[in-house]
Amino acid sequence: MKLYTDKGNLNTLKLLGVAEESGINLEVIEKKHGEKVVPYLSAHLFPVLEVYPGKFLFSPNSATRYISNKKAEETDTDVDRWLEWESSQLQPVLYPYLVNVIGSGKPETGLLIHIQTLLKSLNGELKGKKFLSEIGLTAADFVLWGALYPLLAGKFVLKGWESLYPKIKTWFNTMCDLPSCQKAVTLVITNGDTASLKESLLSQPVPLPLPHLKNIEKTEKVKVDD
Amino acid sequence: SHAEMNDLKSLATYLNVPVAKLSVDQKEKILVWKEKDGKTLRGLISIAKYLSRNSSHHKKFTGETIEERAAIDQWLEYRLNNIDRAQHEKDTSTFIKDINAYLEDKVYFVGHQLSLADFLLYYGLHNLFRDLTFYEKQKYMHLSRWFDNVQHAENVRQTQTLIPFQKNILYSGSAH
Repeated sequence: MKLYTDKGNLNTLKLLGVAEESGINLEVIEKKHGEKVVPYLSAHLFPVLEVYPGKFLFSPNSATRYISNKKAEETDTDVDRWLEWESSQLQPVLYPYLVNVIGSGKPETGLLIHIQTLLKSLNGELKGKKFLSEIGLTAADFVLWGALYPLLAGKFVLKGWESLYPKIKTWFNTMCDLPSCQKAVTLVITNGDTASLKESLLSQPVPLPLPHLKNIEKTEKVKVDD
Repeated sequence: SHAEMNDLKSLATYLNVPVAKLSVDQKEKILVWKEKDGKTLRGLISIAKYLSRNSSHHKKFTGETIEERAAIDQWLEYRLNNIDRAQHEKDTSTFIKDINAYLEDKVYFVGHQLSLADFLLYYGLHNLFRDLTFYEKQKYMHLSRWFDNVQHAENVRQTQTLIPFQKNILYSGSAH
C-alpha cells in the first residue's frame, strides 16, 4: 500500500502511528505541498492512502481505521463516534486554531474558547477510561492523538492544559509513550519542532465551518481588519 | 439536523429496524439516538452505521470487505463535512464536480451494489437535485445517472419526490 504525503503533514501522524502499531508496511511517497494525487478531487489534500492502484482513501480517519482493521477488524460504535467527532466537530475548529497559532503565534479568543469547550468534553468522556473505546487501543486513539499533538506538545502547546484536563493528560501520555507514536513523531515532525508543520498546514484545504459557529468567523475577520 | 433526522428515519424504514428516541444535542448540534436500554449513539454516521449493522437483511449494505467498509466510511464523512456543510455556491459546485468525476466509471459509490453510502448520499443530495435544471443534470451526467438509478432502487425513495431526468439524452450521453 502506498501512502502519499507532503512533508510535515499533521494528519500523517495518525496513519504512521497506527501502521507502526499494527505492523502494516506502508510505502511512503513524499510529494510537494499541494500536489495532486486523487484524480477526481479538486482539493489537493494529503495524506492519501492508495489501497489498490487507483483506489484511494483520502479521508485520514477512514484510512487510519482501515490500516488498524487490516490487522484485526473491529466494528465498535465508540470508534465510529470518535472518528466522526474528530472530523466533523474538532477539525473545523482545530484547523483554523492551528493556522492561527502556528502562523501568527497568538490564538483568536473565539477559537480558543471553542477549543477549550471541545477539550473539556473530551476530558469528561475519558473519565475512568484508559482509551477512548472500552475495547482498548483503537484507531480512535491514534486519530485524536495525531490531531491534538501540536496542541498538547511542543512549541505551540496550549498553556495550562495539563491541569485543566487531567484525564486527557493521562491518556495523551500513554499514547506518547507508545513506540509506534514516537516513531511517527520522528518521521513527521523535523527535530520535534512543531513549527515544521506550518507549510503543509497552510497548503491543505480549510475544513468547511460548522453552521452554528459562524460567529467565530466574524470575530476573526474583525480582528484581522484592525 | 432536521433533514438528518428525516434521513435516519427513512434509513430505519429501509432496514426495517425500529426507531428509538431521536433528539438533537443543542451544544454540538448533532443527532443523539437513545435506545430503551440506555445505549446512546451520537452523530449521523455513527447512528447510521449502527442501524445498518444491526439489520438482519442488509449485510451487504455495510460493505463486503474491509476495503469496501473503509470506502463507505469515507463517503459518509464526505457527505457530513463537504455536502451538508456547503454554504457557498463555490463549495456546492466543487463537490458536484468531484463526485460526478468519481462516478464516471461507477454504478454505485462503493462496490457493485447499493450500500449505506449510496443511501445517505442520495438523501444528502435530494434537495440539490430538486433545484437543478435539465441542463445542469445533463452537465453532471454521471452523478445524474447514479442519482436516477438510486431513486428507483427498491424502498430507497420512500416519501422523497421523484426527480425527473431526460432519459434519452442522459443515457445516450453516457454511452461514450
